[in-house]
This record gives sequence, C-alpha cells and structure tokens, in this order.
Amino acid sequence: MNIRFSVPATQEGITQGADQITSFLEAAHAPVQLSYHLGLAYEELATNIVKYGYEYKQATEQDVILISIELSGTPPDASQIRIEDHSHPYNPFEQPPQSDIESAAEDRAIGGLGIHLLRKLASHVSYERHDDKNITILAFKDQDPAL
Amino acid sequence: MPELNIQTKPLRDDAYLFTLEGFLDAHTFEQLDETIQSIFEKNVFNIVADMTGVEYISSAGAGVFIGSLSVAQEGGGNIVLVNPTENVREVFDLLGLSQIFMIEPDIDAALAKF
Repeated sequence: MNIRFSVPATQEGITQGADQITSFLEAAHAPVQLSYHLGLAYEELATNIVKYGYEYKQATEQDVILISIELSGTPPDASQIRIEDHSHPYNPFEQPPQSDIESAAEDRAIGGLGIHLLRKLASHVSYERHDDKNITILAFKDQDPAL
Repeated sequence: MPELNIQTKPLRDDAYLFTLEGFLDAHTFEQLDETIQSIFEKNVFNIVADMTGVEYISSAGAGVFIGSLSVAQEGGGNIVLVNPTENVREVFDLLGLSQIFMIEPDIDAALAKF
C-alpha cells in the first residue's frame, strides 16, 4: 500500500500530515513498531524543514512538503518514507554522528538530536538535491512483525 | 490532534510528581518545558515523571528532559522516569538517555532515589 500527499510547510501542516499518516497506517494494519518509526521519521524530518528550511524565508501557501510512504509485505513488515521540500539545500545526514548526547541536546539548533535518532532507527537513509528539491528517504524494517 | 495531558502534585516538600499522558512531540514539548520550569521556580528540583500514559515521544520531547536534568542537578535534585512504554523506552535507549536518567518501575521506587 502506498500514500502520497502534500501539506503546507508550517507547524499546522505537520499536524495535518501526522493525522493522515496515522489514518493510512491504521487502514493498512501496519504493525505498532513500524507505525511508530514512520511517525517519528515524519515528525523529525518535517519539523526540521519547517524550523530550519524556512528560517530565512517565511513559508507561503505554495511552500509544501511532499510525503510518500510505501509499505511492503503482508502484513506490512517494511516501509520507506520519502520527504521532498523546496527549501534551501539541506542534507540532514551531513552532520557527523553525535557521540555526546548531552551536547547533542544542547545543540538542538541544528536538529541534531532528531537526526541522531533517525540514524539509529532507520535501516537506510539517503539524501539528494534534485530539481531544486531536497529529497530525503528513510527505510525501515520491522524487527518483530508479531508486535 | 494528539495532545499532552500533564498533572502535577507534590509528593514531598522537595519533590513533585508529573503524570503525563498522550503525545510528547514538537507540538506539545513546550507545554512540558513550561510546567517543569514552574516547579523549578518553586525551588523544587526533584521530579518523578510517570510516563505510563505517554504513547509517543520524539526528540523534541526527549530534549525537554535532557535540558531539565542539568537544571535539576544544579539545584541539588534529579529527574526520575517511571514505567515508560516500550516505544518511549526504545527512543530513550537509542538516544543513550537510559544511561543518563534513572528509570524505575513505580513511583515509590522513584521517590526512594532522592
């Protein structure tokens, strides 16, 4: 099962998107752990885009975040989330892995804690800048489909 | 829209219980941050956070606990988490926070840590 939709690049838009993702995952009978990881990935990445992608330019109605989720397996045991935005070039995974978590927390201005979490959660992460878009992809594999 | 419900009550003169329910995320973390700061302003620096009802936590939520822990410790207190759900525990484990925070199964055990 797949879903693809866009939301405004605002805090309200993030909340709308979270509701849509929850409804989709419930309809797909996605396992609890996989759903939790997808929800986290979405929130962390979308929050970074809204907070840092538009820190120099106010987002308008035309500024949107495009979200695509693909589930595979029956019941779903693997997934991929792809997030696209038109803000300034920003590769969240360029930051070095955080080894000192207390420093990472103090360094939230660059979203370090959330990215640190996603690196640990995802089985694969990628980023590319294409057609003036940031394209970030995270893949997850459910370690215990029985959950 | 997922929300966060916070209830606070004094456990002792020097310790407060926070009972948290719902979603602790980028949308709700400031609510927790402000509530913790209001307790610090009473010169109370020991906090027991009952996490039983927290369904979801993101880095924004975890960041509140990290930032508050250093203030609590500078004030001579601490923050002890009680009974986090499996999902919340996973986030704390992956962020390395399970080694920084005391995590106890119930409120009495948490209070005994102060």
